[in-house]
Amino acid sequence: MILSLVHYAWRTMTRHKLRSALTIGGIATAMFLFCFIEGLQNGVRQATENEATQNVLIVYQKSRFCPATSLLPERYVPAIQRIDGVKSVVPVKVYVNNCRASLDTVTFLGVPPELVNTIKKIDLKSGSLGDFTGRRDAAIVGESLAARRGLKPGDRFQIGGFSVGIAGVFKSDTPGEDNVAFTHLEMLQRGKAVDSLGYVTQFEVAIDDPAKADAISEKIDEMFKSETVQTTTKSHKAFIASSTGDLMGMIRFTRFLGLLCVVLVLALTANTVFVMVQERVREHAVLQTIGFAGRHLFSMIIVESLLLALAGGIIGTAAAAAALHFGHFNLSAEGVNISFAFTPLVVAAGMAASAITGLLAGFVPALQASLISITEALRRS
Amino acid sequence: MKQPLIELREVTKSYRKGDTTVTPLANLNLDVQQGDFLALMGPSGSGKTTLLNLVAGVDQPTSGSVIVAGSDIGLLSRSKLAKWRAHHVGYIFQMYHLVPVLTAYENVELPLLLHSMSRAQRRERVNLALEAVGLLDRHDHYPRQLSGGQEQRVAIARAIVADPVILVADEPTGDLDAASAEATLALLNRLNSEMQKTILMVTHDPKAAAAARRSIHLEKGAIVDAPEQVLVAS
Ligand SMILES: Nc1ncnc2c1ncn2[C@@H]1O[C@H](COP(=O)(O)OP(=O)(O)OP(=O)(O)O)[C@@H](O)[C@H]1O
Ligand SMILES: [Mg+2]
Repeated sequence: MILSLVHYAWRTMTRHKLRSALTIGGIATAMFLFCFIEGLQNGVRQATENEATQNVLIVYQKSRFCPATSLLPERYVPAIQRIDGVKSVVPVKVYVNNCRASLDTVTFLGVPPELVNTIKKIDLKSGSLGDFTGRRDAAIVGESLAARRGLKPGDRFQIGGFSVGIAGVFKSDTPGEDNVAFTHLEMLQRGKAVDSLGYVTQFEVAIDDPAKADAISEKIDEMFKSETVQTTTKSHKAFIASSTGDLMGMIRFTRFLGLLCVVLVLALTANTVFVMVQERVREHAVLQTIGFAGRHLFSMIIVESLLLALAGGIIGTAAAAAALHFGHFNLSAEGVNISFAFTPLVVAAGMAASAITGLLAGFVPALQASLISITEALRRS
Repeated sequence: MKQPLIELREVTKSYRKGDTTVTPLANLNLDVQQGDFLALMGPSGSGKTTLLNLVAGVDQPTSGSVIVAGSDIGLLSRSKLAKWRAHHVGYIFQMYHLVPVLTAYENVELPLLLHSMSRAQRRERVNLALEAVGLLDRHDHYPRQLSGGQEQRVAIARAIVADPVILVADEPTGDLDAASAEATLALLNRLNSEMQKTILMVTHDPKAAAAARRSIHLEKGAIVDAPEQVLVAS
């Protein structure tokens, strides 16, 4: 019976091919947007709720917000290292080719080469770590960045005043971090017109217990209070939230847009199903005359509605998957990267959203179809 | 005499439209024996379709009782009535009313979807029904690819496929040319005489009425001259 219903529903969609195509196209477009937005939301979640960075603090120069203006003396490092609960301190110089929010930003993170594994568990897809530590102008680049710029080990890569040789390509479990390149700290410090040897943008401090984050942050800032260069220390999550502040506001707003997409799908599907039911009142009466009960007609219309919504949902989700996979989109603000994370979760959200809207959109027309008066409907001709 | 297959007692049917009430049928009595082929005639608006719908369990009487094949139509719930129709009645319309997006085969198969049957069992039944109406070779044609007469024969196949006891037909030849009408009537006749289907047929055409075993006339919701068991040679 169910199979026949699906078969019937499928045939029904082919009655007005253009109309069905337009509706499915509309649903697909809305679901494409929805998945794009879900992917972004998901990226934000991954960037801020990353387990691995729960016990990481970021030390920045006080009242500075752009990587280019935060200048912390490297000599602070040993002092921070001595604080109880601190496991490691890595000085990082951040170079961004574009300090504003952008979809195609390249971020260089200059670190002491021997410490690159401390700041991040490097999972090399190609190339070698030895090549990286051995050469002063070497860089290892994240997978997304490599894909976006077509880079592979052995290539040279130029950005701003820097030219680096690719020593390897790594994969990160956090999509945002697949968009950076690690370089030697010293190269970044020397390469600029102004020599900033001895100064870095930030310290990444690993601590042994996330519960101590506030206490240790306070201690660090307290320690340099009377120095000329003062610090602001935040948890990794708070740091990302503050440096991407405006961006986050925008991203939060997109959540609302995602919801609008679902409403749009609902309206579009409901409208089409309504019309489909209206023009088949007599056919439904004939089916009832044959012996189909109200509940059969109800399920039939629901299946038709579901089919429409799911067809659009699958196309839209697939298109979004393709766009995000091949586009390697990456939002960046003040050196922090947020990637569109298209995960199975997003696929599930897209499918669930279209299925639920399909069910909801079909409900009222299905009820209408199941409650028609057979004799009155048969008299219409 | 046997218990009649169709038994209408003091049947009244009225429709309310705002504050006016239309009463197409008033205090009507009618018995139809199993195996009968009855033509229902009468002017437009006399209540023929209304009567047919009551017998087919598509509608329920306002008062009185309609007992068909042992079931009191007026007492069944909407869903019970639907199930009852699936098992007891085949309905044939003037305008055929095939589902345009389904093939002849699929149209005929529709009623069987309501019965618990395997695909193979359904196939066998559908093929038998299509063969009975002489359209087995057209099984994969869509309604738009068939002539009116052929469409009506597919509709008849759909009406008989679930092997109902009663066939009701509302002006089945009303939209057909003379030759197709004749073929349709011959088919109904065969279903009556060879397959023992009890048939109730509304018609305006005296020639069609002549094909039935007997005919009755409705006028303003009442049977005017129902000659008892007048057998018309077929
Ligand atoms: N659902 C309904 N609502 C209101 N009035 C109805 C309804 N069904 C039938 N009627 C009225 O009942 C009367 C009889 O209708 P019915 O369709 O039974 O006539 P008929 O004999 O079949 O006519 P025709 O030969 O034109 O088909 C008509 O006056 C019609 O307007
Ligand atoms: Mg009529």
